[in-house]
Amino acid sequence: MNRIEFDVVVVGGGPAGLSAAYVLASKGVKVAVIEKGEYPGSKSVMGGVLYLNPLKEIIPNVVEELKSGKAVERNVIEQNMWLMGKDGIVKIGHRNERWKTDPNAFTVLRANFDRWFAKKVEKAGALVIPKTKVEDFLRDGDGKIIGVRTTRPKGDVYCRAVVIAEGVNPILTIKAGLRKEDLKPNMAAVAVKEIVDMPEEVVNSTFGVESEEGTTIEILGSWSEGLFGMGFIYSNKNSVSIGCGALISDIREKGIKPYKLLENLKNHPAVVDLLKEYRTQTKEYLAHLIPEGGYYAMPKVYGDRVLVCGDAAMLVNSIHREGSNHAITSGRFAAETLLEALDAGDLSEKKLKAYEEKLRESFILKDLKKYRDLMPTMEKNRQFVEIYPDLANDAIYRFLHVDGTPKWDVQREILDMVRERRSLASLSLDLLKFWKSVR
Amino acid sequence: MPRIEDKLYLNRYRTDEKHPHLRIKDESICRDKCKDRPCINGCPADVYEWDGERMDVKFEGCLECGTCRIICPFGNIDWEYPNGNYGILYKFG
Repeated sequence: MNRIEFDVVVVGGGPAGLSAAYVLASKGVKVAVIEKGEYPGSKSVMGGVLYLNPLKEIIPNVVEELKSGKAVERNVIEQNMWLMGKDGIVKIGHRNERWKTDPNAFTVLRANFDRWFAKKVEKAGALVIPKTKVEDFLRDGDGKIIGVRTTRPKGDVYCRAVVIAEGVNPILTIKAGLRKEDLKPNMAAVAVKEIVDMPEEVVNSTFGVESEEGTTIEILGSWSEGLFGMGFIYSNKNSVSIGCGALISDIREKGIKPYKLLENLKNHPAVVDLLKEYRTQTKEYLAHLIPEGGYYAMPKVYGDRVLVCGDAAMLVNSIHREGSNHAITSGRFAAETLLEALDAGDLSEKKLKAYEEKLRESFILKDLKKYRDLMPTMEKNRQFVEIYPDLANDAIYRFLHVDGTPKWDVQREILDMVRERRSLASLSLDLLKFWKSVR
Repeated sequence: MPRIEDKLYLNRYRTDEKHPHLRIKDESICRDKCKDRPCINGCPADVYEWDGERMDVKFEGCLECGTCRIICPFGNIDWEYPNGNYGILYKFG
């Protein structure tokens, strides 16, 4: 029988899978990436900030390559956080000249970035097989994974090990026996996003940057109607990504449509002033889940002849909106683990456990562990989204609005405002809770 | 509020008419057991619509996010990705 055979099959052509395949192929391993979309990137969505550090680790000269390959949009030189009240915003931000010469992150559109990355992977010697969905695993008489079954006719692909990089929906991770149950509604956020058209010069003047340079805005507050969620506005080359995500459990409880939340955000007076009529020039409407379960919701990430990377492994630090960097780094760790295992001729669960140890020793699990109690704390303490954004806006408005009231009285008014909406004792307790969950 | 259909119209899809990738496992659960039918609200593409008797599943507009499967209190949605090369095909991502 003529069997199609590889050393490693990677399921999923996103950042995690492509990173694993790139490292493996660069070392001469026979590897295939199977992607269900028309091409890698055609089904991929993220907010749009790609940190460069993990790519620098595997691809020489990557910043120039990304730019010349038109794989990225703008170099992020300024990052902002907005606390949105009903009629105001409190802004915190940071802009740094150093990012202009030493880029830290780019805004990206995934259809471009993933396709570029897949071409690099092909050049390194891997076979990228698009338009093909993996349905299940092939197993031998003992139940050991020996390949994958795809939906193509005669589509069985045999291999010595599989890297699951299927993304947030754990269909194959469950079939591999590495996750007992599907995600629960509090383990994922549903995010919706629009790409709105904006000419390059207008992007430049709107965000106060030169061409090639961009800014990011994360937005917490009134748009979410008390749901736990984050909004964002990212500047692209000649478009803007605007979107928001909220926990599925919150969406279910409050019965608010994800798209209604995005409309809230787009129609806030500050956003209307910023994006003007361009905010209605939508070019694409997208939706995707973000893993929010963190450390406690991770599957087992290794088994006999199988490893799990990226979103499928729940490797997202949402408070810092970091996910693709965890994906790329976990893909590299999976590849390094497999290189050692292939050399030793031992692809057993025991040998592949080294992958988890690599995750544990790195920022990935250190950060996930650090923030493991943040989401549970937030879920139980609605005041963080229901009370504080408006309170902060009203307090700062009162402080800055000059109307002849002596400052002692203004301070007293602000204190009364705080007392009325959240007692000082509760406020101190909240600060302590927040600190405890992120320290 | 703009209609969701107008937003979906901007997207590129390749629909596999013969193979719906979303299926209600047991219609009677939606009708008799499920009170608030959260799939209807949760879906960002308005795929689910209750016609008074049964759940209409307009899988053609699906953005393949997975919310419906996770939000269904009865695990009553048979959810899979469309076959390779079908479904949503983003131009920008």
